[in-house]
Amino acid sequence: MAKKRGRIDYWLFLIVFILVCIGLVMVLSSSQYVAANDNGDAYYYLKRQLTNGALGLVAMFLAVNLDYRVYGRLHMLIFWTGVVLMTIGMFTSLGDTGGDGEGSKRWLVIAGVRFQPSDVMKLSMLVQVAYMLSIRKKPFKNFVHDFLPYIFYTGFCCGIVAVMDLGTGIVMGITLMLMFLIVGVPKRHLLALMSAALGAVAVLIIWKPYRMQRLTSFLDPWADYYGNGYQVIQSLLAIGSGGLMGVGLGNGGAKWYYLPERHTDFIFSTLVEEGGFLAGIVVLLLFLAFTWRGLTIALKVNDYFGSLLATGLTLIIGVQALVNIAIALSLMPVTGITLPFISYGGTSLVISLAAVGVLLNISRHAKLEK
Amino acid sequence: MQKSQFMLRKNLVGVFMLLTFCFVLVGVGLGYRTLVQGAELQSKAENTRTRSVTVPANRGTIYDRTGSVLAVSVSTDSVAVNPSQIKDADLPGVAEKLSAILELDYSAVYERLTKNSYFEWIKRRADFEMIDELKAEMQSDKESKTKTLSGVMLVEETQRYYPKVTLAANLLGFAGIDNQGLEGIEYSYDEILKGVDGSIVTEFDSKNNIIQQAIQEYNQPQDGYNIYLTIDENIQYFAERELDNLMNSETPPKAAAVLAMDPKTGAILAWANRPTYDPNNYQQYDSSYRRNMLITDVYEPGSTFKIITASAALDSGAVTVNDRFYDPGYVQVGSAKISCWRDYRPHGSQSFAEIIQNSCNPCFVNLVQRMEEKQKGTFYKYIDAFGFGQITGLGLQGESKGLVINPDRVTTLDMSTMSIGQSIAVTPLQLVTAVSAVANGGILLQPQIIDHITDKDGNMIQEFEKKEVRRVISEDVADTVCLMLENVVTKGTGSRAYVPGYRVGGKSGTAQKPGEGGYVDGKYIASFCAIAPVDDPRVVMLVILDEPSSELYQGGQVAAPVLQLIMADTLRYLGVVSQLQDIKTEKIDFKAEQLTSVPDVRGLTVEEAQKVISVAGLNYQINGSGTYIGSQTPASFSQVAVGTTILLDTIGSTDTDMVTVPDLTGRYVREVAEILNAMGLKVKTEGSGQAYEQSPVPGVRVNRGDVITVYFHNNNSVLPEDNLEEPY
Repeated sequence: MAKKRGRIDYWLFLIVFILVCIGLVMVLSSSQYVAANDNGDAYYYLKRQLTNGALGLVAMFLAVNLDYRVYGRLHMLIFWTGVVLMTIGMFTSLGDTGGDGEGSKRWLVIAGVRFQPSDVMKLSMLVQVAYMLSIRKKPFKNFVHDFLPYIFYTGFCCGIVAVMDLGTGIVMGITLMLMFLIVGVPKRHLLALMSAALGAVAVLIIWKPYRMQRLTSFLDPWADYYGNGYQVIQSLLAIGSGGLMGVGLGNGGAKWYYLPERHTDFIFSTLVEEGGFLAGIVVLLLFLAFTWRGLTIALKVNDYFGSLLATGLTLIIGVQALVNIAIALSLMPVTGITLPFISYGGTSLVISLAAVGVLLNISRHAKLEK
Repeated sequence: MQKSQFMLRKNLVGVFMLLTFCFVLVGVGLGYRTLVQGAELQSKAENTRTRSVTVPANRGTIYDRTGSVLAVSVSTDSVAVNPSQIKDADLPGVAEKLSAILELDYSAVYERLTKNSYFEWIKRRADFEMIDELKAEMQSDKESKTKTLSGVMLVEETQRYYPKVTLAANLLGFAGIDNQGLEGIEYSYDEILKGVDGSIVTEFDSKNNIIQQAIQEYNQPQDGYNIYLTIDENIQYFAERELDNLMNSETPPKAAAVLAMDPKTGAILAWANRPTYDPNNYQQYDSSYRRNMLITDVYEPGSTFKIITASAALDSGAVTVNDRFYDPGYVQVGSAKISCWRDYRPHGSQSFAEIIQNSCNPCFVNLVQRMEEKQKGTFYKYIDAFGFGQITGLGLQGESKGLVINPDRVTTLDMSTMSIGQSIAVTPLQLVTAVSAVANGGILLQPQIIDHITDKDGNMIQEFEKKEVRRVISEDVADTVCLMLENVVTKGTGSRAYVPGYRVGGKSGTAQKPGEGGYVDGKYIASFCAIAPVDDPRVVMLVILDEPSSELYQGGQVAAPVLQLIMADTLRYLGVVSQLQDIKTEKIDFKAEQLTSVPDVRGLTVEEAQKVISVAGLNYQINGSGTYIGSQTPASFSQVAVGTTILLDTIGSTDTDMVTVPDLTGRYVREVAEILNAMGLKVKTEGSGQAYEQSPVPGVRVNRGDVITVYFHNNNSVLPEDNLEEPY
């Protein structure tokens, strides 16, 4: 099969390339004022993001050229690597509430490389779930016998991620739900699972009360202007200021320390402030196009594992983008999550590009229109 | 596998649709936030990011008509602190230093320094010396790098300065600490004077740093306009000088005021008030010192109002200048009796000019009766036309309308007393405005206090022009009344207002002050209203004294001399050419025939009476056969034409040996001797020619055999002033 390698899906690559470019521009625009003041270099974040992008391209290049079926064979190793990293990260950060002022500390440093284990974990789990589903011969009938084992696996994964990084945990949970839906798990099973997931979220909220405050601040951010509502309000002020056409690239005011996470989680707000409704729609359409392209690849691949892996990778990026933008628009409570390809952040960008690399590798095996 | 693949395909499409739906939802959310809520959110965002610093506009200057500065804004420094910049350890030192330099209470300063804020005033508009000392200390602080004045800053502010201190203070008013007009011109024309404050809109980051590259919006302040008043500083000074002299005299009135107007334009030339205050330190004065009594206070004008009554009577055609009037000493209106001020010696028969000259109350009541007989409501028509009961429209805030009895409820008695300036209350400005209409040929003008307005560079913004309200009386009537008013000064009750070399016409007024349940004994408002020169009026001036000293309280006695001094300087200042000839001797005589005063012959024997009447140039007719005269008609002291027949009723006996001293004015020595001898009185003469003064005065009851001293002078010598005054 390796000899019959087809062409990668250039449309997908082009979409991702445009998104990364938009990301670089917006990282510069949103960070330069703060960077100039705090780091003495307006291009501080841009330079680092360029490095991240380069690293991501390398990772993508490697993934494009590595047959995806390797992941199937190494699924146990990949999965447990993720779990171990996650566990280490969890134990080093437990009880540490508020290193960066947000109450979430997600970093792990291994051999001088600082990264977020939750980003690794979400790919590891996708590989594991895709593999398990691909080798399954029987349809889902009985909740206890057929579905429960998956719940243990995925519930465990999402749980340990959510403890440290609720946003990523939720994105993983939604993605898994959609995958189960695709492989034919009965809807009543999914509803039961969903109820359980909501219960779990409730437990997590009770465990760390700041999450509850974030939840209520989503309902009426203006009631607690300088408290929990502050982030959302600043995001809305930035988005609202954009209007139809935006105030112009570089002319936004939210980045003057007003909007927290201006170049990371809330970069979409800066983008809309400066580029307006139109820029926001362009980004939304690009992510929709990405989803369409990714799912098309999944459809055209004959290999069940490849199809499921492509589905998972596409969905997790698409869902993450949706959740991030919904948070910026205050359509959802605030949970820290990056906008794939666009937000500043090494792990996020490298992992996302690596995922795209895997997707592109799968696309070589797909029977795409010539 | 095949089945799974099929299911996978089907479900994949389903999930894609679901995601697409979610993207659409988010897209709609984006549209709602940007397009629907956008404007609101944007303004909120700008509000949080921008701060506007006010750049105060300079308040306009107030000038008099000659361009002399009456009120101006000057820059001064105020001291403020930023308490958040002062370290706790430095607090006592800073407080001590500030309180020492600025002469403030230590604990008060300390309290302000410890406030939780970024800005606190310590002393606004500090003295120059204090600021200099503070600047020196701040400089040495800087050099020695100590922090004895940390957090202290100087803020430049403007302060209103009134260089002429009390001059026209009650008119100008004053501006408060934030440059807002609070009273007078400063208040009424605040919108014109204050200008529009500018602002600098600056964008800040959330750490309060100014965004350098952001657009800084600078809205230039629009300085206030300058106002040139119609007031002439010099005339104002004449008026205030005389008022000061009056207030500093041994028996000062409670209050006094002068108002002068150019009758041809309505421009106010002087507006003076006592008591007054220093607008630079207005806080130190009670508000009673700041009253602008010329428009806020109303008073009963008394006899000055007769100018209006006379004008109305002539203009309405109810009387003519050739009509004759008869004063029996009082007039009966219903059950009330209105007496003449000289009821002890009634004026008798008078011409129209004489009733003004003599300020004869019963005749003025008669004027109103004749007007109302001719056409009901005539008197009110003129009161209304002259502007009483309405504000003049001068433009100053707080102007009173005065009090005019509702025409539907007015009684004949009310109208009768109104004819002599009672039962009606006016503002001094209303009276001057109305008299100016008489002075300028009959046209009521809107009084003007502002001559013109310019911007700060002197460009004309608005020029005020003469504004005619309406014609009130005909030009002929106006001119006639003017000349008759001159008679009042030359021959009548206003002689103390006479300015040598100028033709001054005027009318005095004395009104008892109303209080609870009627008039208050011993409390008067004395006034004098004058027009000069009567042939070409340049000034109408009113002098009012509120509660003059109890001994002298009549307008002609106390107000006229003050007016005379101000008017003399004003006319000379205005360059009115003085007439070399003494006009007073060149009388304008409206007498149709020679008049004489009817002597009191009651109590005399018939023979004595016949002799006295004959010598007085009158005829007589005796009724009855008694030895003594019991009564006579016309009454004694009536002015009657020479040759008039006096009816004498006799009685059998008399229980008194007293006789009434006759009016001997104008009689020659021989006549005087004959009359007095006939009455059994002795005479002592001084001088020669015609009698002009006598002692005791006419009307006094004396015993037969008493000595009457009579002073004579030659006709061509100057008459001494007539001291007689009317009480109304």
